[in-house]
Amino acid sequence: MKPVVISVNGISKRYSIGPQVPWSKSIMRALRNFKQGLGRRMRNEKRVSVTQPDDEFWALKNINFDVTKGQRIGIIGRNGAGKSTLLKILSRLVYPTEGEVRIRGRVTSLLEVGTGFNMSLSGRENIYLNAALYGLDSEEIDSIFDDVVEFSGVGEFLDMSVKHYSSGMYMRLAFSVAAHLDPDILLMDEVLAVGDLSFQKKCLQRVENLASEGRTIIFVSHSMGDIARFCDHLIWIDRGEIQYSGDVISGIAMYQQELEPKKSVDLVERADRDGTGLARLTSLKVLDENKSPASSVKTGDEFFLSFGYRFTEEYCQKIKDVFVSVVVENEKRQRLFGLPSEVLAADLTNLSSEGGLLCHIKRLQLVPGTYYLTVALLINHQLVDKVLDATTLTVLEGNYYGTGRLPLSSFGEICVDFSWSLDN
Amino acid sequence: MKKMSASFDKELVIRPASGFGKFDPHEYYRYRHMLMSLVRRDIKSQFDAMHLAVVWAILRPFTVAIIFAFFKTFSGANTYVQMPYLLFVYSGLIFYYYFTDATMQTASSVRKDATIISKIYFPRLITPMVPMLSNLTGLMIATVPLLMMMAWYQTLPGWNILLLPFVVLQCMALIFGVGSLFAAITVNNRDFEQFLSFMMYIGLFVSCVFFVPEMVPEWARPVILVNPMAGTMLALRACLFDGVTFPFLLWGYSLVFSAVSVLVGVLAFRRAEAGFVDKL
Repeated sequence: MKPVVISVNGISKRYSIGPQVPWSKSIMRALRNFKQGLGRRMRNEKRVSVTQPDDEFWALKNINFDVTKGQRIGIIGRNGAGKSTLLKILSRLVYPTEGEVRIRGRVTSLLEVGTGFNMSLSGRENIYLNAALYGLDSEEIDSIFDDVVEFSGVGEFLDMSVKHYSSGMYMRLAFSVAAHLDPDILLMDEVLAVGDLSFQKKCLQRVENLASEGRTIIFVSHSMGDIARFCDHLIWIDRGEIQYSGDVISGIAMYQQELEPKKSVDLVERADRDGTGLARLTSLKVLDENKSPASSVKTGDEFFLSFGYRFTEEYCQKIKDVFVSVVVENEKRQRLFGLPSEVLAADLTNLSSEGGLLCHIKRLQLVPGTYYLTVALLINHQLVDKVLDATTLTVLEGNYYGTGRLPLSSFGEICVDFSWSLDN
Repeated sequence: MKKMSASFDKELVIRPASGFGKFDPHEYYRYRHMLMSLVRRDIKSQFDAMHLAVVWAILRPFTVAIIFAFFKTFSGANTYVQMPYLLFVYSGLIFYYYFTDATMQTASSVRKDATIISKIYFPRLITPMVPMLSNLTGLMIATVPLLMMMAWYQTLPGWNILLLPFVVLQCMALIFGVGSLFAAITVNNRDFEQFLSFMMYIGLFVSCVFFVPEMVPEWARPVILVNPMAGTMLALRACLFDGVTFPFLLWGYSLVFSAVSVLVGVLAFRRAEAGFVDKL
């Protein structure tokens, strides 16, 4: 059994959300309370609670969990569920109203990238300032300095004031400092989404390294893909309470079911679309192998994408050909593959004025993560409708190779059928 | 990568904030680099934002000194100052402006560094320590013309100059104490900042910057001297200029006042700091 490094016992946090009272009134109120208190004391009465429940809001209610050394915990939940408040309590930024937390080890919390960066200082000075803010002394900073510079890739601009940096360079430098802090326990609040693609990759790599070195990581994110990739334990917080704590994959599945009770995406409302508008794609559903609606799919799964369409005007011209295509992008907006009907020579010309189109995927070759689907419909070689990011596809860990294992995400996002043998 | 030296096995316990919190001097020692980094940042960004920062540091006290010297000369007013008046006023002004600027900045330091405070944990009292140190640069710049003037008037400091560091330290203590107190209460309410700014402005006229207490009728003197900066100002002149007697009693009062203000300021600040992130 690994030692417990963070133990959270009955943490609650209350905020008062009543109207701001001017200080003159609050002083008068304090005086009145004091007088009443004195009176009560003289009459030997018990103190009655004066808080009005309407004015308060519990951001967290009785949160309990333990983190063992080397555990990588993902925290998910809707906006305002209390995730960030929890992280702030663990970072010692705000104090709980009730309960206690015990932490063993050096904690670094990255709630934001580039905190304390000063525009008028040079890159070099900002590295020193930022690292000092995280409690490093100059010797420690010297020891990581070269790595930070190399990692960030700002090299020749090091002595230039950061106000002349591009935003990408700025973020790269900021993250580099954060990434080299070498904590025992790392608390992160959605800070991975910085910089350009190659840099994002380096960041993820860096966090994976920290994780594989046995650092304890608590990671708050909205990206189910990142959570599925990094975390070995999931905590789902809803309205200040722990809704779920346990296995990542089943947790994400539950969360997503809760999040999207309607599994069919309504495309009619989407105004940001392209094409002549002769016909419109009206809905999009993800169906599992039995054609029942699903909120997520697993690597290696068979599943269907079901589209609804409707012609917006009477279509008298003869339909010569119909192409429909889906393009799959990853979270970094790289196109991974497309599913164009034309390469299959599928005959879809018998469109009625309203109906459906079905795309059958026999075996999903994507590693766990969140992916974006863009759909397009072409009739007679004319783009009729196109919806960017029509839906997101959540892929969870599945048993693609029959071994229960999948390639590390650092290898890439696609699974391919392959085998290895001796070649004698 | 080298394992960080400051790694500690001690268990950290986070509990609901109560009273003044626990004071951990070791922690402040560990974070001393942060204090120096923040001071450096403030100095650098000030000089970067204003290319004429050096000029401004001198121009303001110098202009005001000239105006007062002008009034004094042409009105024939007796300020009871027994030394070159320009020297007296200028030395007082640069020091008083250091006091005002640093105190005002200390009072608003928590809001100024809100982004850092709300994202990174560090011992909070570091924030109000920064302005009293970073503003020393401006004071030092403004001292250069003072030295030149002293050479011009052929006025030399006496042995009292050895007391100067203590006077400066006393002034820094007062800045820190008053500033921290106001930093703690202005997080909730900006009215107090206006109040402080008003006090600082009035202080310029009653803190023996332009005159010595002898100018004021005897019965009114306590009103002037109750202000702790009066003692500081007179002590400063005694340090800088030979022949001015050091006001030990008066400065002793300033010293005690400063010490009390530090105590009150720190307690108020520590009481308020647990709620900073909630309120910012």
